[in-house]
Amino acid sequence: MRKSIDYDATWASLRKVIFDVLTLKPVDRIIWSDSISDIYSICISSSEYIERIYNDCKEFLISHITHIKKELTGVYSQALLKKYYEYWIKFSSGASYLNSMFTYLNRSRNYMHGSDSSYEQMPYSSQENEELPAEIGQIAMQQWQEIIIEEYQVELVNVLLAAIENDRKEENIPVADLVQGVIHSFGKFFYQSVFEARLLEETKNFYARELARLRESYDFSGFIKAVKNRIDAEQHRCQKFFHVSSHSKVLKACISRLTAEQIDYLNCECARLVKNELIDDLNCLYKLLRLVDNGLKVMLQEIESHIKRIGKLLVINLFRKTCEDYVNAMLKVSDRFSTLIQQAFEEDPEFKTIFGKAIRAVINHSNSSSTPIRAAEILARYADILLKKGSKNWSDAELDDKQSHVINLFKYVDDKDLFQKFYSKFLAKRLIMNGSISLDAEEEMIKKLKIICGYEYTSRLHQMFTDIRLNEGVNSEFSSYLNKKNIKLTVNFSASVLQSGAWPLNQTSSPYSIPPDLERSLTTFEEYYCTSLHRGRKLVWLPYLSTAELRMTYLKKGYYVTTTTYQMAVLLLYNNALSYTGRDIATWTQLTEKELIRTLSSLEAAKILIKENSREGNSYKLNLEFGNKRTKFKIASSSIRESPQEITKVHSRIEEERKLFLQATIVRIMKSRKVLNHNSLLEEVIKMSVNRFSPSIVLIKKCIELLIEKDYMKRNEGRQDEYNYIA
Amino acid sequence: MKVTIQKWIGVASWKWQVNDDNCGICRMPFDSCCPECKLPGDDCTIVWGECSHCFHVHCILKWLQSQNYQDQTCPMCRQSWKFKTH
Repeated sequence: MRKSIDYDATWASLRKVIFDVLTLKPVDRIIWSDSISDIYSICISSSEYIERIYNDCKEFLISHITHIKKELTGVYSQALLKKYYEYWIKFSSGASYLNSMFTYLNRSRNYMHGSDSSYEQMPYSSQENEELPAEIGQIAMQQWQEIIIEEYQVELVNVLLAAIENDRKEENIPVADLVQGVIHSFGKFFYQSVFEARLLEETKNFYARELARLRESYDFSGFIKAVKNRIDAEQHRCQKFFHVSSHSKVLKACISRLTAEQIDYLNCECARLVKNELIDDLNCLYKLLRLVDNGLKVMLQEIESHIKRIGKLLVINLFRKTCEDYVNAMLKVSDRFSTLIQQAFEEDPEFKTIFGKAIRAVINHSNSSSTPIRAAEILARYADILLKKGSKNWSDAELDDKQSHVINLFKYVDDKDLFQKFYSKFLAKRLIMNGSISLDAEEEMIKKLKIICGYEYTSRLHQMFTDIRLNEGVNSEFSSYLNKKNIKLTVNFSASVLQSGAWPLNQTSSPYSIPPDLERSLTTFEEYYCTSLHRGRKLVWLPYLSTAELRMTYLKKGYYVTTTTYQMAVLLLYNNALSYTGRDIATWTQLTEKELIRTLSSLEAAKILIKENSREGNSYKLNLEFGNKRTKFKIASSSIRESPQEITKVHSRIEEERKLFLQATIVRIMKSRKVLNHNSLLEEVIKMSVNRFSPSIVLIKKCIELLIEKDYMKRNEGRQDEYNYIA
Repeated sequence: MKVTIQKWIGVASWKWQVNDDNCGICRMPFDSCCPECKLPGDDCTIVWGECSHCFHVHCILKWLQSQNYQDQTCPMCRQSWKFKTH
């Protein structure tokens, strides 16, 4: 049932309320409610009234706004800004109240113009555009922009830009709410089409002027700091004033003026900062260049070449120093630059990669192409010093630290296979001679190596441990075997049995005259090991690794002397005579010439024997005057010292192993791929060998040639850069 | 006696006691391991059959698996295969 309604009377009372709401005058709650119900009544009475009240309301808003426009005439600059802002704040909040008062009208009109089928009979539907009609609040904003902004836009924008410039200059800092409020009043269309463009232009101009001023008034260090502050402040300013859509544009305008367009100047100074390692300045410059696309390129290059230059200089100076000096110096370089990366470049991953690359180049640097890179060997030697008994008394924590240092450098070593060779050689010596500080420390080190290079890399080293552990059991079982069989050996005998594949045993043994006492022990042990412990194995004794303890009773004092097997063989001869010619010793002991010379010279050096030259040749006399402070001592064997030839032998062996490894890798890749082009093959081979060594392209090519010759693969006839696998 | 041996700490390496150098199945030397393994030694041992032929344990097991269950023969001499127990 529709109530008939007196539109004119209702509008007259509504009009008064509308004015009060718009001017934020207090409106009684009852009047507010009545007005809402009046609007409701009008809306439900007829659709004609809906349009009428809508238009009346619009008329009223226009006249109200036009009134405000008049109020603002004759006011300029700062005063205009202030007054405009006051009116705007009042009007915009009034309009939002008004909009909620007209909620029902808004909703009815939305229905009428909506595509809802129940309103299809309405004359407007589907002929008008489909967009929802403007609500009262939107009408208010539209009219505000059309009437007031249209009138004052030039002046307003100028004043605003001046205020923003003041803020940038930090003079007469404007009130943030005021500036932000006025900008907000512009509405989307005006903001985007007029204001933003002006703002960006002004920003560019301002920073061009500012740049000139900063360049003039500061040195480089001050300049970059000032620029950094400028950019930070501008970022803050964006948050304070502008719409979020403009933030990145304004910032970009600022950054491009201050840094991107200055990149040559910045890069030019960068070299100097890097050279002097000025951490604060570098950090500041880094933060600036980070903002520029691709801006860090030159800086990265400078850092890389700087680390390389400093590092290589150090390596050259260390060429003839001890391995401890070398490791310490390397650590110092690596620490120095990792601190630089951390402090100046905030652990930026790009810089960390560059750091790794440069340190790798330093560690694998060799003074000339003919001298081999010594890093792998030196590190292995250093590790040997750490793990050898009696070299230094380090605490567990210190030792662990030093082990980690080795690992830190080891990561960068290219020739990881070479390191393994040396390491296993030293490890074997430590284990056999019982010379490790502790097996736990040894295992800890191997565990660390395993983390970097994987299981396969350390499996041999692990096997060596297992052998040593097993041997404890073997020896105690051997002595119970002796008890059970009631065998008494005159020699206190123990043995280490090694698995031949795992240990670096490549020295050939010399024969020697085995004394009968010892021979009985040896055969008893062999019998025990090969029949009662393991079947199907045979033992090969390695006298050059075995040691003997001799009791010498011919001197004023009795001595216990630790000797090599060969030294023992020689000394036992002197039970029968006091002097022998060299030739006789050779015949009696059956030692090879090389071993004999070495052994005799070591005994001579220890002053146990005295060499006498005569016409028939050299002879060796037992030194009966020999004396030593200690009753237990060891005769150094000269064979322990390595000749440089031995080291080059290791290198050439490594070279052979690498060739085999590369061939196997290539075959494996080709077998799975069947057809592959040259470059991808190289890439895969390098990827698969990086944990052992970094193969040179030449070597890979040589191996490919070898495989082609051996008919494992062939060149594709059509395409020369492709290879086919031959099954 | 002027000099006597008190103590001797011997070092020896062990090898397989075999008639042939290579495994008859994989043709790899017994001193090295079968193609599946990385390291020779305890993990890749050698076994003997009653016919006295020997192979890598991995190789002979693979062979026996590929054979008929009733008809397991030594790949070298075709006698029926029995592991030799010492």
